[in-house]
Amino acid sequence: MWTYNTILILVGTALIGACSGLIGTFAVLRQRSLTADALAHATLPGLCLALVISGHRSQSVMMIGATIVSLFAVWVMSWLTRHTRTKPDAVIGIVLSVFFGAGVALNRMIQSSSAVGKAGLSSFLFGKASGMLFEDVVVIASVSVVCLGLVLLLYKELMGLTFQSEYLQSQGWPVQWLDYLMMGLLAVTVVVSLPIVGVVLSSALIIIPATTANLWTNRFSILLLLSSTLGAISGISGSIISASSETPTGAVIILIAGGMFLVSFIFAPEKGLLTSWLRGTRQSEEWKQRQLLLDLWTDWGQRDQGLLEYDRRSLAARAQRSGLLTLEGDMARLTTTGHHLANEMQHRVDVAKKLLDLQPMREIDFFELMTNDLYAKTLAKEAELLFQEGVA
Amino acid sequence: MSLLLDVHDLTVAYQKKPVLWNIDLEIESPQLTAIIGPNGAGKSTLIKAILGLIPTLTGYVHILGEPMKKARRKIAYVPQRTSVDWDFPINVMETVLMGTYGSLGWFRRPGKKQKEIALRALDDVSMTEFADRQIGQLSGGQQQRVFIARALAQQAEIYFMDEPMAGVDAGTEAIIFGLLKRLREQGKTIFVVHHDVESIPDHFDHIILLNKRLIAYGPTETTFTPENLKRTYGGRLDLLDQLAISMQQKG
Repeated sequence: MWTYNTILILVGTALIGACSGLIGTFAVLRQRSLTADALAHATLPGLCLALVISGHRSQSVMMIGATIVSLFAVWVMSWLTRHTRTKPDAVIGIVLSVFFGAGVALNRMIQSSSAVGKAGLSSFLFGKASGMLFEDVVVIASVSVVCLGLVLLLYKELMGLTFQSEYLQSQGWPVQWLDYLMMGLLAVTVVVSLPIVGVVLSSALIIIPATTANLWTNRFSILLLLSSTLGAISGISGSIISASSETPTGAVIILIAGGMFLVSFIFAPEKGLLTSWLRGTRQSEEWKQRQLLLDLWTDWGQRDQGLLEYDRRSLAARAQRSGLLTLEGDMARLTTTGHHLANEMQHRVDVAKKLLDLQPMREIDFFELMTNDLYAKTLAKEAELLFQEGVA
Repeated sequence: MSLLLDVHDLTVAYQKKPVLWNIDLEIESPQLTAIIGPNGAGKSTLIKAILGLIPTLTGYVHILGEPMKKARRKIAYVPQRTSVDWDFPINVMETVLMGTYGSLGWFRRPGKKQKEIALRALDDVSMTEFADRQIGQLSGGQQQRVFIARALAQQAEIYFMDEPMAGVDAGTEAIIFGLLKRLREQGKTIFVVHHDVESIPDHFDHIILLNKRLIAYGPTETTFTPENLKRTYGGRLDLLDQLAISMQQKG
């Protein structure tokens, strides 16, 4: 199993995944996923032109060609957006398809001319890891080291650029050049991944791990680390599965990355679908129970004990299970927890009412107020400031 | 003595259509200035052009006798709140620390000293306890205060704020006005794009009236007149009526 060749492939695909995940984070957060996709498709005519001009299948020449043409495509997109009234998404669509179309046509011409070889560049379309050589891994490793080094060195500059380039520019930073640098790193990352992942799917490796990682964290540094890790895992597991099942490497890598995205967007804490669904269900149950406490508290004249009406029984039984009150026949009694919660709810509502007195136009979400502690705290803080001002 | 801010013959055009014409401003002493004008008057554009964020057709900007490019460290910018993606994975502290990037220079990361500066700035806008919170989990007013804290962390001489009062709660508004007053007392100069015309006499000592051209500039007492407002806002009578009423109330 652990032949020299296998190790080469694993190291290569892991590095490609990690590098794509790292650089992809910046592209995704700057909402340039589609730009990355167009850039990736525009490498095909670059590969073809380099092959035609140089006349032989030299990996390095083809990669340089792919980088130049893909960056040219990025420039065309930016020029068209600035100088015509065409909307950015249409510009991306046009550039992507025209460049890719040119690549497909050139590839056909290469195939029909026996000079360079019948195989043409079809292997570049969907990628193939099994042919990886030591030299390829050296190229991939160098690109990864450069990307990682620059991200570490320019961490704050690149984070600032990604968050708000205009603000960074107001401090005098050369945002235009930082932007060119990021685009260059993106192009180089895509190009080195082409032989393995392929033209059509290489942008997916840029986009998916970063998007997936973003579901798990609110910290930029952790996001970079996580996105790179997910990319590396996709690369390694994809190449293993693809080798043992004779399926195209790129496709399997992307399917695994896609699988991780699927799992994440369902199960990720905080930002996942399941959490938000569970939170929604729990929140509305909490709302009902807390509302009940507040009502009882008011009905009973702010006492802990009183008569429970028949139609409130089932809700009260659920509140009993939550440990908020105890039921004894027709009577109910708030527990210590229930007592404190009722008081807290009363306080929140009082604060909100006072706020509304001062600012009738203010919008307050009472559901959130009673169930979302963060919302309640934020509002209480605002109210505190406002009341202070009222006193002064 | 060189001027604090010298804007000379500034003209900005978007694709041949001028949006700002021949703006001349000579600011001699520290002041708290409101920039007002109708929608599309070029208020934000003026700030961006002064800061060199957008290309200008003609003109130059000097700060304390130096060209804008050399005086970056003396200015701070508060962009509009809507200009960023608030879901960005960054917390309040990290955002405010961006204010120290300029003084840090290339490659250096914020350290203890920068964190102290940032904490002080957060304290100035009553946001210390939110330092660790992701910026999307704040109310609109709190987000605005984070942006202002970031500008404070720049420790600048001249501040440019683009609509800091837009869509904020009354508590935040009180904090921001209080802060502006303190900055002014410390001898800073602040330019604020402002929408609420009525509140201007209470808070600002100077005003710039703008409608593609500079309509008027000067101390609020002498410049904030119905004639000037009419020239700025044209026939927007509803606004002028409101203003007449509020001025009457103030006697």
